[in-house]
Amino acid sequence: MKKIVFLIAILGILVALPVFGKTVLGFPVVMTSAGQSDEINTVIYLADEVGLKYDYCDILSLAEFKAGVGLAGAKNAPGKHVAYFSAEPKGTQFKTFLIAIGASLKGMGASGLSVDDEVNRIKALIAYAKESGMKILGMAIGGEIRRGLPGSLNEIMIDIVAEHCDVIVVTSDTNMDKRFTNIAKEKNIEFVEVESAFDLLEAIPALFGL
Amino acid sequence: MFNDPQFFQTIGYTLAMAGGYIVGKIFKLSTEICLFIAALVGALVAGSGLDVFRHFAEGSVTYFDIGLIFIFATLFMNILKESGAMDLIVRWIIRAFGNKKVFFLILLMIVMLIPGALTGAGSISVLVVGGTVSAALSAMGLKKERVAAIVFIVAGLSAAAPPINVWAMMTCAGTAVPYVGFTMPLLVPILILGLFTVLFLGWKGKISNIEEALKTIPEPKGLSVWSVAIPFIVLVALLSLPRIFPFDFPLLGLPLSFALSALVAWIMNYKRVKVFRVMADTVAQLTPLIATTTVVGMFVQVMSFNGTKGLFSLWIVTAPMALLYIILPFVIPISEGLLTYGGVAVLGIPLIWMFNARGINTVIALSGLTLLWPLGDGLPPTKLIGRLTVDTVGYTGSYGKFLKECIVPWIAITVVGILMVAFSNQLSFLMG
Amino acid sequence: MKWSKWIILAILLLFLLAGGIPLFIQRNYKETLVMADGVTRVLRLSDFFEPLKGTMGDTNIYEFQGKDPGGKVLILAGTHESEVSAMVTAFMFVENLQVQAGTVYVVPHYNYSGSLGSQPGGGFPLYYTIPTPWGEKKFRLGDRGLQALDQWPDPDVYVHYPDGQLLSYIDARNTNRTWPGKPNGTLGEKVAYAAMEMIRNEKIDIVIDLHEAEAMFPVTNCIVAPEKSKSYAIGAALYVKGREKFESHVEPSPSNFRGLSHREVGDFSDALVFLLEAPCVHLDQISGPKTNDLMIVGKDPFINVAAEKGLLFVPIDDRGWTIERRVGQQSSVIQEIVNQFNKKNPARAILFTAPKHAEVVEKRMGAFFKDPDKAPKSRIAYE
Repeated sequence: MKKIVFLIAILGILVALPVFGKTVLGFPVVMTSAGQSDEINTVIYLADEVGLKYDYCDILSLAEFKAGVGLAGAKNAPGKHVAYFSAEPKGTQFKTFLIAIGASLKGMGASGLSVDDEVNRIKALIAYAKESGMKILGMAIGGEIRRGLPGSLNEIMIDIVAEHCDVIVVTSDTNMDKRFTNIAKEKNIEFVEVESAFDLLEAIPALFGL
Repeated sequence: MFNDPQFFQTIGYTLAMAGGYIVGKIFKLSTEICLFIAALVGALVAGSGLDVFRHFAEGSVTYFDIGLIFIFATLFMNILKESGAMDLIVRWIIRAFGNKKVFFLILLMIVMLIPGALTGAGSISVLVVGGTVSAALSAMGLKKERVAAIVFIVAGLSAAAPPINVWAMMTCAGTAVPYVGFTMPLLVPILILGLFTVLFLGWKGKISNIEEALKTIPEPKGLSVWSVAIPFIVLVALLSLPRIFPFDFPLLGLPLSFALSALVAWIMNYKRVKVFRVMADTVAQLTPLIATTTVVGMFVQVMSFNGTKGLFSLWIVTAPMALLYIILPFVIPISEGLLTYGGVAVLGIPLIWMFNARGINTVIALSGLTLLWPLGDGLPPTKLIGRLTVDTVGYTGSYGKFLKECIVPWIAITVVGILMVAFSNQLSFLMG
Repeated sequence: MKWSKWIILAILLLFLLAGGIPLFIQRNYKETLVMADGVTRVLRLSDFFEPLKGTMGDTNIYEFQGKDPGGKVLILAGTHESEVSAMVTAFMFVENLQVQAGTVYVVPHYNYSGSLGSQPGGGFPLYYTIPTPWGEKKFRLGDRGLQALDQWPDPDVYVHYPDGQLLSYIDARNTNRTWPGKPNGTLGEKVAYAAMEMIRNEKIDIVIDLHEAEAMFPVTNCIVAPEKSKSYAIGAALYVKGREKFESHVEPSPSNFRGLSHREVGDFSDALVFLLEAPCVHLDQISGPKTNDLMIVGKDPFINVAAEKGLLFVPIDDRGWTIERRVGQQSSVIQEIVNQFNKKNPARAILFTAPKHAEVVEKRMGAFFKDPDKAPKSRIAYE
């Protein structure tokens, strides 16, 4: 009996390895939303569930990002949500930058951001992350409603984030047209596709070596 | 796609109902009886059996409250008319503003807009101030049909005017959209259209000689200002107090508010008014109207029961957008003319959901559409407000001639309403 | 009076009787249910607010107290009495629930008055039935709002208490616009106030309000949750999608739309509140003849056309939105919300078992209702 369990475990790992990727992302982690849609809350839920420690601000600014763990003491305010759980001391530079991709006019309105504000904010954050050698993890898990015609808000967010990622995680309904698959192939980005966000309960620990 | 047996079946029911209506008309029966026959046929062919009686009972109370409001509001006005109060008011208006035409017309428009805006019912504007306004307009030498057109169109606008727009509210209630942000999208076009209407239709009129004009209106002898003012003060108080103290003032409802005001009006004028005769006259005057709303309720119930309502809603929401811009100006007023408020359920609710699915700003689009619904209150078979208007104004000519007078403002309202749908997103700044 | 007038009067009376008697019978019809052994008490809403006693706003509350201590969950069905799967879910719970820890309260007809008559102008049947192995189980089909017989007259505009927001006069009788209620208000406001009193005094942890929404309505097939309940809702949506393979997404409760349970219950008490919307087609304006099948089997050719045109917010397929799928969804989402709560509040964990989505779909709805004729008298309850 024990042998069988062991065999299944080995098999499971062998099967999971190619799916859940090779890169192990480092800590500390900071998370933000590109487009202020609701998926960032799903990501937070998943992170809490699997015990991933992170700092989070939905409208993270460049200064807060540069300040490292503790986000320069950023506080909750109307339209701004902040959380700190990173174990590292304050000021430690982040190793992983997690971006939940998905646009919502309502969400941006609530945070007082225009489309241009949001695009410029994300571009600046990505530039800094690349400069300082952080790994960028892009997550698109909102399903078909977070996709649209070329030039629509959702697609703009994908345009500015996806190709700069080191790892892309998508649910199959968000990748219904294989756009993420193609970007990943073209730019040689590590790619993880899962059936639903529920499967991230396994994929996230694998990515972070938890 | 449209090949399921259910489509042929419901089309069959529609034809059967239309047949019932036509047969009634061939036998020269009244519109109400014809609608009743159509509903009866529609229920029976769809297999209601004896349940048809229950459907009729249920449908007949759909507009029960509206009927009650009509009865008591009309009673209130008829008592005041009988007492001579209306004549007194008109004489006062003419004396005060008779030689300032533009100002006079704008004043009349505002007076007309207020009761309907506050209660959401154009009928209240017609019943409460329509008589006075029409007398003042007649004194300007305008033809009766033109006076009726002004009263009808402005009353329609008053019903759509904020804060209470029943079509928008019913749609909101049916779609769980909050009734928020409608004030400016309704007020701005309504004021523009109201001004256009009174100035366009009223421009030719003028009071050349105030004393001459006053002679045409009988001077009520021995009527004190108070016996005119107090009933109105009571009415205004009963209508506005629930809004000013919403959580402390007892909930009376419009029918009782008008009934109490009517009682006060009678007490103030009990010597001049034979109240039982006025009551009997009022009920007789309104019987056709009440019959209409009752039968329409049954008709809507049957349409829903046998699926014809679903079929019409489906046709509208699946029509291409370009076609909608062409047919909505007709379909919306006709649905109101046929079903009164029932038209909102058939068209308004699915339309809003369809707009929503297509990324159209629903508040602006709905505001635009609600300008069109009141127009239908002048259309047969029900011509609900149209009939009230011609009765109140005292126009006895052909109904068609009255409708013809309405045509220019009607088109203006339609164009504005449809443009609001087409450019809803560009107009969203109106929501503030 | 002339004899012709007497004849007209007689015909009128006959009409009134023939139309009115079925409505009278429906208003007095009692639904029968066989309580599960776990029902510890049957409370009344008026136990929490005396003035409701003897009114049509009073209603039954079935209490299931587990052996072990734990938190409390209140499940409200019948806020809108035309949203069928809500009541059927509540009935299924009352007949089948087993509670190990904590307390579960089930209210099958929160808007009891609304259950006593159907919607004027709606053209619906007066009852709906579900086939069971022992015959048909019959339910009253009610209206969205309170009956005019029980709350009348309507205001010309409904002013929400305490916010002052103006709502349609129709919503004055909508028990999902009268939260958080008013002790000296209308019947609808009193009902909401009584429920709030219960939630506050009994220290209810979770309130779940069951609804159905049209396929054309954007807020359908979802869990509506305010900010403070949101992470629980996200978790529940995630788990039902992952484990039970059906969709129920999360919708935020708008802060500028007052009177709704998912807004006011959370704002006026410590409870976490959720409103569940299962998709149905019988309430869609575009659906065809209003039959029992439309409500129970949930298929309609008109709806299919709208689906092909991309006008719907839920997928439509050959299965139809059957009562089994809708009730199964309500039941599974309720259980998953409670699981999420238990994870974060282990000291107040509420443990119970109820049929889940797959089980209801597989065994069919009727399998979960017991034959009242074969049940001991002590277990029979009437609604």
